[in-house]
Amino acid sequence: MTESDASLVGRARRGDAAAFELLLRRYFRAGYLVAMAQLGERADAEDACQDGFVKAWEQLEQCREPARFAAWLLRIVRNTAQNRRDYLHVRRTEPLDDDSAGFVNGSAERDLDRGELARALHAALATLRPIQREIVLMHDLDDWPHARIAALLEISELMSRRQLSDARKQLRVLLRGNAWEETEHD
Amino acid sequence: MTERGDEWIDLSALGGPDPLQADAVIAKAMARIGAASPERQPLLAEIAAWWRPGLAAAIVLFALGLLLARPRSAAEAIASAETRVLEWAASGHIPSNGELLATFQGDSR
Repeated sequence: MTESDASLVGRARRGDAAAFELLLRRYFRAGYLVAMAQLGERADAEDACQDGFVKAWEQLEQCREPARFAAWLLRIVRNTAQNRRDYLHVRRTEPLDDDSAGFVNGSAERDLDRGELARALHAALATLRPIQREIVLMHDLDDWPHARIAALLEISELMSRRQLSDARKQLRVLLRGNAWEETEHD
Repeated sequence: MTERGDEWIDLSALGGPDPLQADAVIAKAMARIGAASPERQPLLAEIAAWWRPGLAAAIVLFALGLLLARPRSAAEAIASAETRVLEWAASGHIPSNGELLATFQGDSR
């Protein structure tokens, strides 16, 4: 039987680092995707996760509802990632750059490699609101069901579905005409 | 797994989280946590860790002891010399140079 979050938090508070590590393993993917939604770069997201996890350990006594540890942890990781983004002066709300503009209006014959595609996706995702980025990444990149997304982000399932739908529409507009989209989704 | 409907957007080029990445990030975080809050050491190790402050405290106590003991020794020496002189006077003994030296040298210390 899987030990509950509340029980693991209790053990971790008594200094049991192994219990805390179990919690991190349980929610690493969520933390990573939340950080990724803020930062857009794998290495930055990993660093933000690491910093957030250490902060969570240091502030564990402040976790008022151990049963909702995951949501609490994600808030810390999200804040850490936001601070890191500000520090790095990454402007995710900037207009699309020249490369990404090519995906919006570009030719279908354009031969895209994975790096270009990733850059285009980053640029398109950057136009979304942070909550939409988190939901799109969790759902379309990591196959999470809405119920789980809603629980971890502390929103309703309906809100999760609505945000995903809006985000996808926006992404489709931005990625329209992209050769990748036509070939990958046949 | 979610249902990947027609609206699903392929984001795999972004690279999702993977187990190796999780291992690496969590290991680094746990190393930092371990360094910041080391686990409890065995009793002997904890005692051993106190040897420096213990030594410092012992030196301070020793110095204090010397300071406190010094006036008392001087007083005792004076009292001892006086007693001896009084004994000599009462007995009519005339002290030799050596006895005088031994008596008052002890006093001057």
